[in-house]
Amino acid sequence: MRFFLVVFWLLPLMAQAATPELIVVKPWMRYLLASIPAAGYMELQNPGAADVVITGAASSACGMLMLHKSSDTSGMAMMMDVQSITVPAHGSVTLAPGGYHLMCMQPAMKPGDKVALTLSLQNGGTVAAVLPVYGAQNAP
Amino acid sequence: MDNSWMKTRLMDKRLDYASLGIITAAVLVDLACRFLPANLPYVFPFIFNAPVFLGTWFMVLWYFRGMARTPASERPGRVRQWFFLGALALVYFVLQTKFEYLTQHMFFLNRVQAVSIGMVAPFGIAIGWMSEVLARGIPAWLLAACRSAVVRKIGYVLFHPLPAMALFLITSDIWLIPSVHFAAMIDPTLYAIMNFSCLFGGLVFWLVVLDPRPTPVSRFSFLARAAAGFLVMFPQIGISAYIALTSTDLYSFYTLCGRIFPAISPANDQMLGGMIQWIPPGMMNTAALIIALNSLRLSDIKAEKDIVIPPGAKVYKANWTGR
Amino acid sequence: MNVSFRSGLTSLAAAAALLLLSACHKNLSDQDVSVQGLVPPLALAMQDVSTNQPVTAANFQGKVTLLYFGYTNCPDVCPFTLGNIDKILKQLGPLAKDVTVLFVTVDPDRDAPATLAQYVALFGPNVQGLRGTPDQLFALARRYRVVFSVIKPTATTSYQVTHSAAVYVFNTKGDAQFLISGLDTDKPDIAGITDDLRDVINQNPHISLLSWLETLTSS
Repeated sequence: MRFFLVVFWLLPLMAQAATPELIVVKPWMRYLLASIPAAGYMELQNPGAADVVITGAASSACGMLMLHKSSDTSGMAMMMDVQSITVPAHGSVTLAPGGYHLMCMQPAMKPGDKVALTLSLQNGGTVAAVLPVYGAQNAP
Repeated sequence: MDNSWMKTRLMDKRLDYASLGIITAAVLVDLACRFLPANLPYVFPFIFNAPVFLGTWFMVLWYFRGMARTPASERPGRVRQWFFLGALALVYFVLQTKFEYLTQHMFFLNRVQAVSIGMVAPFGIAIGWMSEVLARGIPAWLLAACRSAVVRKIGYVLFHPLPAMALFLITSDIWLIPSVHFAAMIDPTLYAIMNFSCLFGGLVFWLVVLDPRPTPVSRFSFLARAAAGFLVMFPQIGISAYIALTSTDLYSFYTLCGRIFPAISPANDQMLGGMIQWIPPGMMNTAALIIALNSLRLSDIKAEKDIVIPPGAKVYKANWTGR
Repeated sequence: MNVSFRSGLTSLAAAAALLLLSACHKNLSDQDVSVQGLVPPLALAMQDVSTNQPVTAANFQGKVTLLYFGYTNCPDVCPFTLGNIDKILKQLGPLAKDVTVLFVTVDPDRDAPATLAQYVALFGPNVQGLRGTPDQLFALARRYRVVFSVIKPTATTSYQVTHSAAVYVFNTKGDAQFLISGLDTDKPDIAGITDDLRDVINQNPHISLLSWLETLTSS
């Protein structure tokens, strides 16, 4: 019990030391076919007092990983490359179908796998995430 | 009256080669648009429309034929020729080239199309005032039809400033009622009717307003015509300003079927569209007022010249002619 | 397109009826927009990628048909839309057997028949992949006022494909019923769209006039 209390007290300090700048919530990936890019989704929460800017992503299961954004503002479905995604201080950004997403260009995975990927930040830091892989129909 | 052209007229009873050429071209273009639409050049129609295609090309043919039959001294000036031909080219461009694809998928370009066929082109055709030239150029049967009692009666009613104003306002504004606009944009037949009615209403209106003939020939005074040209501006401005400035998304068709330039937001598209049919047409109505008043001035000058003042008579009345 | 006086009158009458009835007609979901009597009946000529046979609208007579445009290299919006359609079909239960979803590729250059067939198979047996020549695709898109563009990549830009996001619904006779919008947005009204689709499936063409009269008196 005492041990846990100590850990509890130390948590904020540890948080600062390890700098988990973003909290990854409900990550997942939609895989369709090996020849078609897979898409990664998650919610990113920023508990810190400074904006966190994501500038890239990498995973050994993806070949190339890109930041993308789909939009349907005018009745046209389109997709754009994005240079960076900013997670505001004390705020969050959701990567979800129809909006921001990670595009996994050469997916080497199958539904049921767990894919590890790393988000690289503008300040040089990284955030790790593990994304369970779903198929076309059984997405959460 | 010079009747020499009436003799040449007798020869075009049968279908001539030029007309046959236009009809053949229409059939070929129609087939190309149906079966090979993907890689046609830009100047080919997006949707082939027989009345517009045949109408513009036959107008061009009859215009040149009429010019050839008009004695050089009676031919209209260069500026009037360019206004007329430019207006025909504009109608053709916005209705029978691939530009039409854009007009179906951006509200502001749809307004460019509507203002072109309902306002700018009829304005140019009316400034051109090619009635005499075309009367010499069109086939005899068409001339006879134009001069038939029925057409004359219809013309007598339509070419009055009030019906012309009403027709102009109805044909341009009924299509802006949001549910009607939606139906007209998605229904191909209604779409064709919309464009045709816009063009027709605009033509009747501007031919009345910009009629260059003095009052004994034309039925209405220059002042009445100028007033008609100027007064329609106010409802038009009211409607356009509302479209441009309201925050309601009035025209869901474009969002539903997709905008061709997604970078332009629905709100900006609607604002641009409202501005396009607000400011340039407003300027044209003002121009029409000036042109009509200028015609009045010119015909007064002419009338004054024609009056033979008997020797010794005193002139009590002086017209304001700006001289 | 031929403009006959009669079809013009029909269209005008349909537009007028639409105006008058919009107040008393059964309300569709906010995401569904009625196009009854406005949009030309289903007509197409393309290749069914699962059988490699040419198909026309006649092949889909007797089925409620959903028409959607997309491309397989679309990892986000198209699977999301097809996934939402799949949810709607699951809600329909056994009625779903009367529904065919046509997924027309706007990017036939990259979507080989085999790839497209594999892709649509992921979304269940109701989805059929259609691939046409550029002319066939152009004609179909023009008929239904659909926008699409494929921009080949350059040294500095990537491959870019855009397409209309709406889905057309045709009844068993091939007459257009409504347009579904926003199936690629955050929280689509799956229940409402399912209800509207169920009404189209249950339509009895012979009593449609009667049911239309009913709607006049019921509200």
